[in-house]
Amino acid sequence: MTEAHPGGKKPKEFHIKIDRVEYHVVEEELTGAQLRQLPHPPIGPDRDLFEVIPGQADRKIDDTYVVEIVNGKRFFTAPAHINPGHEVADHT
Amino acid sequence: MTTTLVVPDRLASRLRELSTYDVETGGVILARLVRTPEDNIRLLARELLEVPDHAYERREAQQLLISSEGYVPALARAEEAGCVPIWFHTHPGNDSNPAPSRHDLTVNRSLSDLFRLRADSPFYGALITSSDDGTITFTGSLDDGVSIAPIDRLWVVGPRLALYHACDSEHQGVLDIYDRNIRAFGGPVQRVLGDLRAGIVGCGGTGSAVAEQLVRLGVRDIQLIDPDELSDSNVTRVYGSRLKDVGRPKVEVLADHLADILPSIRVRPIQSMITVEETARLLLDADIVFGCTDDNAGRMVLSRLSTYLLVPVIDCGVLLSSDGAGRLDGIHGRVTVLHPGQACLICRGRVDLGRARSEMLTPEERNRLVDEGYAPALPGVEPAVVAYTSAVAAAAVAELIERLTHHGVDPVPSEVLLRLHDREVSTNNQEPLDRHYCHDSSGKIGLGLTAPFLDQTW
Ligand SMILES: [Zn+2]
Ligand SMILES: [Zn+2]
Repeated sequence: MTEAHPGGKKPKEFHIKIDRVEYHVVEEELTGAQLRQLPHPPIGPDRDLFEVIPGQADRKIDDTYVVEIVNGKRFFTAPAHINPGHEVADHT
Repeated sequence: MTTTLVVPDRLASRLRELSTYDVETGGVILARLVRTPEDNIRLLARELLEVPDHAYERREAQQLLISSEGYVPALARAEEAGCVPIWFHTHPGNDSNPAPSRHDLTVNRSLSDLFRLRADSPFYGALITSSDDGTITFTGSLDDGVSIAPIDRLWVVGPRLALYHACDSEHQGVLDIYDRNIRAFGGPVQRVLGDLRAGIVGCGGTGSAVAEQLVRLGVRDIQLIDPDELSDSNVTRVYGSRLKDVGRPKVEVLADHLADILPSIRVRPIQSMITVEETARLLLDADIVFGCTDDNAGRMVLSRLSTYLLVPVIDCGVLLSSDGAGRLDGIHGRVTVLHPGQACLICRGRVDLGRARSEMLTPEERNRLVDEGYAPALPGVEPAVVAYTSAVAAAAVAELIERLTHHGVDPVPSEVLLRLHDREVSTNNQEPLDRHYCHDSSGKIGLGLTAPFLDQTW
């Protein structure tokens, strides 16, 4: 495999998690939009993407936001809106 | 299996208030989970993180639209605090129905996985409250990702106590024999009494009188804890005891007696000491505990139990003094109610720490330390009289009634002192000492199971 990488340098591979699933990526930076493409099917617009930042509040990742990728980073998705109701009020 | 959500009254007042708004309100309740020895679940509510105003995209009487920023921040907090996150919202307006709508069930399905994953919690909880003339009505569920069980009961603990059943649960009927009680304080309180699980620690003069009164009052589930066997000098005070019972465990004598009064009740006699960890853990199933023991080490356990596990404890004591010539000159009774926000027995100086330490020693160690002057001698046989132990027991049981019926003075005093020799009664309230475990700032209130249990050495 080394011939594919001139100089014999193996690219770093990062293991990150989105929800419960682990993904292996080589990019050192990814935008929110790129992260959304990792799962199959990709994360739809009905869910927001968040990054877990230890010791701080979770950060919401917009499509254009650039995330520095390091090994072990955790992301999760959450319904963008929730709509609990008394009764079914039909807003179509 | 039953699931009880235990809510300190301050938090319960907020839930009640939010339920009366014109518009729906959402939030996340963080609760510590305790599995009891009888395999029930108690959720000890620690905080309510309300959806911030900016996260409401629509907020009406019949529905909410909330952005993810409205509830996601609570999940990291739940993980940090080791809590189950409970998605909470109201169905506002008087008399509205807290049953989940079709929308609500969809929301629960969409949140369950995320809540459990991000909070690192085995459960996702959901709670809906409404208001019915100032009382809370609710439905709730607990979802472990495989199956969904109801939250059956909501137990509000504080100076006043309230037990609510989920509005979709079945009520057990009330027996006709309680007619006189119902005439005094009504059917709802009678139902609560019938559903309470009570623990009684110490089954001597005071404890046995408390037990008998609880049964006649309608409490149907009672745990009795006492290590001793009945002696002949106990027969003068212990309810249900007869001379022919001398030598039998006190808890069994009393359990038989209670079952004779009303065979349908459930009584669990445990011949052990509350200072044994396994025994203390049995009280995890209790909604209320009566402390009727004379020992200081036991009182220290009960004191911590009320803080860590949000179990209201009604602790009582009787102290008679004589002038040395066989004449009574002091008849003191004390009933202290422990609940979150009030000083514990140590802050109040109601526990003798030196004696508590002595009580934990083996008799040989104790004798040696007493001889060397390093430990206080434990008192010998103290005077006791049935009229006074019974009077204090009645005062303790009356505290329970008073707190369930919500009649009487406000604020409710947390201690009643009886000076029967002077025919005087006084009451007081006392703030916890700064930095003590019973103080809000300690973070120990409703912390649940800790290692070691109750943060103490056993
Ligand atoms: Zn709803
Ligand atoms: Zn204290």
